[in-house]
Amino acid sequence: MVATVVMLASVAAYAESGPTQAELNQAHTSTEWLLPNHDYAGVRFVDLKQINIGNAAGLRPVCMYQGADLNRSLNNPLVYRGTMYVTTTYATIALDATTCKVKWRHDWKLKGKEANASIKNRGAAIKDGKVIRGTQDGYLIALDAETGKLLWEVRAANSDNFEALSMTPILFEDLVIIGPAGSEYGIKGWIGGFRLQDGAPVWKFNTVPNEGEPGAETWGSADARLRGGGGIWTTPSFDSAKGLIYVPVGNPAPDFFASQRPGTNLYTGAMIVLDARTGQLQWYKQAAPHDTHDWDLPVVSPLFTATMNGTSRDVVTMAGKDGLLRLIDRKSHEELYAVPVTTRSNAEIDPTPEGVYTCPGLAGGAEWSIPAYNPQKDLLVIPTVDWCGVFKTDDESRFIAGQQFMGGSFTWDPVDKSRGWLTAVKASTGAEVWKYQSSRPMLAAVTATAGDVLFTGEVTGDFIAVDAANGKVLYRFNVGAPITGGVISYAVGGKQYVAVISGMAAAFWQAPPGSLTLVVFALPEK
Amino acid sequence: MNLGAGRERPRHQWHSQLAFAVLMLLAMNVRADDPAAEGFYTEAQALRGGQLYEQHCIACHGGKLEGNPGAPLTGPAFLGRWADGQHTVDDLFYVIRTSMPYSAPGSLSKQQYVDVVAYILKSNGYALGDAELPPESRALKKAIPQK
Repeated sequence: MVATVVMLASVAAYAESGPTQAELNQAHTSTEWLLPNHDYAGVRFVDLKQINIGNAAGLRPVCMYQGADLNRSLNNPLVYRGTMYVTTTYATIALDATTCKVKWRHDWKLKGKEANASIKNRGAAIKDGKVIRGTQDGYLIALDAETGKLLWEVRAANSDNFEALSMTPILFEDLVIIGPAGSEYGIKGWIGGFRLQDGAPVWKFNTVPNEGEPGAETWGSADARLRGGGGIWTTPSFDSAKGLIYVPVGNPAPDFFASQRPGTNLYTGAMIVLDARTGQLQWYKQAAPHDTHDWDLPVVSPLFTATMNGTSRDVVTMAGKDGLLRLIDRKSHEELYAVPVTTRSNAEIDPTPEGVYTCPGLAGGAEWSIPAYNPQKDLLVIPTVDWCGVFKTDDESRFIAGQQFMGGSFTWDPVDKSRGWLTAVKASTGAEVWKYQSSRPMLAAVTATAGDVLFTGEVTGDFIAVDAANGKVLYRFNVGAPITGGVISYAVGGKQYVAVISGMAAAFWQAPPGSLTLVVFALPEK
Repeated sequence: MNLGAGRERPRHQWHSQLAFAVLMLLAMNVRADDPAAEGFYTEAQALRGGQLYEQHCIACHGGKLEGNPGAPLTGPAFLGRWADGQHTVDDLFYVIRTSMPYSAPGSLSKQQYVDVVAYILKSNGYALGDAELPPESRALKKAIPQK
């Protein structure tokens, strides 16, 4: 962590701008979209029913914005007081959420080395009049939410060591919580708290422990920990009442050549629960001990309360690239169920030099988009990838700076064998309710609404509205580029909208190219 | 035998011979440490590599090795990453043979992979030589020369 803080403007003037901590704490009741997954708990349910199963077929695009950015489009937009905030790899853009008219755009000019070519940006966070995001060259920056003016910048991560700040930060009180991605490039992962006022570092937790820290003994050697991975790239969930942050930790490195790192390799592939104010570890649950397949744990949301066998339980949802959807009791830490949400075959067999045909493949399973939870229907709806292939180990594992540190390879099934699922399960039992099959992996965010309509998108470019009761598609519109990022719903001036981010997907998805494009849908005026 | 007997060479001749020997040693050293000085692949090998490139690589890395969606294999982006004095020819060989082609990593022979490496080196302006790059890691431990 590099404690270089550059204050570019007085911050006192922005302290009274929102959203406030109280507004963020109540984001689950908001009909705007204040956090990347709608609310701290990551429920992705919005209490709007203007668009419902009876009229969703009448949706129409009302405006469009093209970001002219051929990098990946993975972010979840935010909407606050009628303004939408979206990010590209380098730009942060504020738009009118009903007309797509740009209010301001800020383009980050690289100041340091770009950590690597494959990690992009997954979105911004907003609080107290500041828009906060990370950059490819390891900076954490704050922009004025009204004007886009740069308020402060901190070199928070070491991009020379391949650390990129791609995840959406979590903002709480006077803290920005963020950590670097880059497991495949041999980083040694961490997550840290920085001061919202000026970006100064407050605390740091090593997701791959240092010598003498708990968990260091699970790696076999200090050398193994040095480039052990454990990056963070997806959004944590947050219990604001208790001040506990639930953090999804990525895979260990080298990904496939696991003999180099004997042990369970804490805290890779684990959900770690930290005191948000201090970074102290409270407890953890490791989904993938000693992972050998690059099966990160990207999903640790939503947090909700389920009634199971007549007992009320506070639970956290966990899903990984291993293709299992798990429900964990937040008090007892007991696993209540683990159900497959994609094809699983040979999942327990480690890669060999000859190769092992395995499902899920390198791409999972569950990816970065979390399940939506519809409390009205006790329903969890999760998008997944179904694309198998052959995992192989190499004859050696070699770290080469700037190259992926895998120690093996993955041969994908032909692209026409890839597919995706949108699976709805009864949240309290894990029992499958329905499944929707897509012709390609499903990567886009899912949003549930009080109108019992689900909104999501497909890699084909189709935005779809789905009946939450049965998975039937009520409306389909091709936006022209793969949808792999945010799909949100919100109300401005009493009218419900749906916003869809589309654009470039990573090359290995073999999807058509596209520039970042935001399309906003609504029902026509009567 | 008088071991001390013998005709002494003129001093200036001794000096010039020493200078010549130093120059020879320097030249040999350049050849040993800098493969670019003599080239380290052949035209025929690069030609074979180019044919393989067209079959297996061109779709992602482009007709001019310019990249998109795959990584650029020529120009400043490539040289900045690989010709930094820190990476060996074997590093490049290792990455290519273990991760490419993207849809079927490891599916070519080591000879084919090293031929592709030769084609990439040629495309970046490295000099031709008299001998082919061998497909053995141990023989490829030279740093890719900085340009």
